[in-house]
Amino acid sequence: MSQIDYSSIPVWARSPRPDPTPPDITGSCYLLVGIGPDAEPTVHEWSRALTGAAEFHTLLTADIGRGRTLLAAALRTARVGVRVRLAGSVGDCLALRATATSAGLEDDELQVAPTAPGTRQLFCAHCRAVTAVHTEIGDITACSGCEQELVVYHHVSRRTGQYLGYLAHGEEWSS
Amino acid sequence: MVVVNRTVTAAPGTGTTAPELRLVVTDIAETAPLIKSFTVAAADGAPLPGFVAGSHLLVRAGDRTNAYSLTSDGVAPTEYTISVLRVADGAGGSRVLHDSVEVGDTLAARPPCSAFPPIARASGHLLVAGGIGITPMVSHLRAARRWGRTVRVLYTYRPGRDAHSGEVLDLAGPAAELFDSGAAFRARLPAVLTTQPLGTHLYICGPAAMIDHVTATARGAGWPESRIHAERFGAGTLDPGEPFTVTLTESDRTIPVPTGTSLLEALEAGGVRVPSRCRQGVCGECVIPLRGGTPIHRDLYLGDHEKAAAIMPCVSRAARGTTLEVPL
Repeated sequence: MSQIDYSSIPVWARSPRPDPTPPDITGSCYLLVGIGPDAEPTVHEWSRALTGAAEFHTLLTADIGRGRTLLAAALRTARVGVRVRLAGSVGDCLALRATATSAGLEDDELQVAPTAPGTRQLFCAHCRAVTAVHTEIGDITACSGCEQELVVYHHVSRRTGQYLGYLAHGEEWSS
Repeated sequence: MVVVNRTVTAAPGTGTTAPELRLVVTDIAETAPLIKSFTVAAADGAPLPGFVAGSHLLVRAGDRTNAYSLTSDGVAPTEYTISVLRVADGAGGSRVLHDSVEVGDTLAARPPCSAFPPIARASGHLLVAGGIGITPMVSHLRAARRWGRTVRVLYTYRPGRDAHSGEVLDLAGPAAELFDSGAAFRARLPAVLTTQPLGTHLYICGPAAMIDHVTATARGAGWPESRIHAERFGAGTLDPGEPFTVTLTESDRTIPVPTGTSLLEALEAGGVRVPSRCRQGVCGECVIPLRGGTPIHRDLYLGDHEKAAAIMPCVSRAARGTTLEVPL
C-alpha cells in the first residue's frame, strides 16, 4: 500500500473521476460553487435536482479568487444545515475547500466534483513562496521564490489548499 | 453521531490500567431533590489530575463502580465535584453514595476520563441537557467561560428538579434557557437548531428519549452527524442474548457462551484473561480482535470501520448457534 493512502490529500484530488456516491440531500440549504466553464454543467445539474426540493444558491465564476471571496461571504451568514458543493479543477477545489474549512464547514457537509487536475499550489517550506505547478506528487520542481528544487510532497494543507514542498535531496550530505 | 454512555457499571477490582485514587469526601450538598453533590479531595490536599470539560469519574461505591460527570473546574484541580441522582431501582451505586457516604469518608475512584469533550475547532457550542444530564454541561460552561468560548445552553427538567440551575445561569447568563416543561422545551428547540451559525457543535445529555428527540430534530434541520455529540445515561438494559460459541484460534479451543453470560465472562471462566474496566460497552478496555464469524455489536465504543475486525466481549455476542473466531 502506497503512502498516499494515508496522506492528507482527499480521494477526489488524487485521480479526478465522477464521484460514485449520490449527492447528499440531508442539508437545509445548499451553496453550489463552480469555477470555470467546465464546471457549469455540473452546477446546472445540481440546480435542476434541487429546484423545488431545497433552498440553494449558485456561485459561478471563472476567477478562483472571486470564487473564494463569494463563498467566504456566503458562509459568514450561513447556519448549521448548510451544504457546500464544489465543481472545478482539483487545485481550485482544494482552495475552495480551504475557504470552507476555515469558515467552520465539516467534511461531511462538503461534496466535490473535480472537472480536471489543473495546477497545484506548492508551498515552499523554506522561503514560504507559493508556486503554481503542473507536476505530479513526488516530482521535483523549482520554487518560484528561492529557486531551490522542491519535492511535491503528498501532503496538502486543509487551511490553505496548498501542497507541501521541501528541498529535494536536502537530507543528503554534500561537500 | 458520537454517543457515549455515562452510567457505567463495573465489577469491583477489575481493570488494571489506571491507578486508583483515594479521595476524601470534603462536602456533600443537596443540589436538588434526590440529587447530591459530593466534593472530594486527596487526603493531604495534593493537586489532582486535571481533566477536559465533560469528563467523568469512575467511583466505586459498595460493589458497584459508576461513572459520574465532573461538575468542577478541570484546570489544576485540588478537588473534584460530582452530582449523583439517587436511582431507587438502579444497581445500587447511587443508593450507597446517597445513604451511606458522609463527609470524611474515603472513596476509591479512577482518574477522570474524557468521553464528551468540547470540540476544539467549533466556533460555537450548543449544550442541550435534560434533568441530571446537566452535570457534564456545568463543566462545559466553566471551560467556556475560562477560554472565552461562545456557548448556549437549553436545560429542561421536571418542576422543582432544577439541579445546578443557579450555576448554569451564573455561568451562561442570557445564553441559558431553562424549561420546567418538556412541551415548552420541545416547542422552542426547532427555532434554536435552525439558527445556529456555521461552526456550531451540538452536545446532548439526558434521558434516552430526550436525546433521540433532539438528535432527530437536529437531523431534520440539516445537522450532519459530525456536529452532533450525545452522552447517554441510564443504560438500556441489554437482553441476555442467544447461546453461541467462540473459537480461540491461537490456543485451538472452543468455548460455549450461554444465554445470559457475556462473551467476556465466558472467556474469563475459561481461564482467558482479558483486561476490562466498565464491562458495559463503553470504555473500550476489553476490545479484542475478531477473525471470523458475524458478531452482533452492542457497544457504544467501536466506530463502524473498526467493527469489521474487533469486538467488545463485555456486551457483544453472535446469533444463536453461530461461532465467532478470535485470535486468543
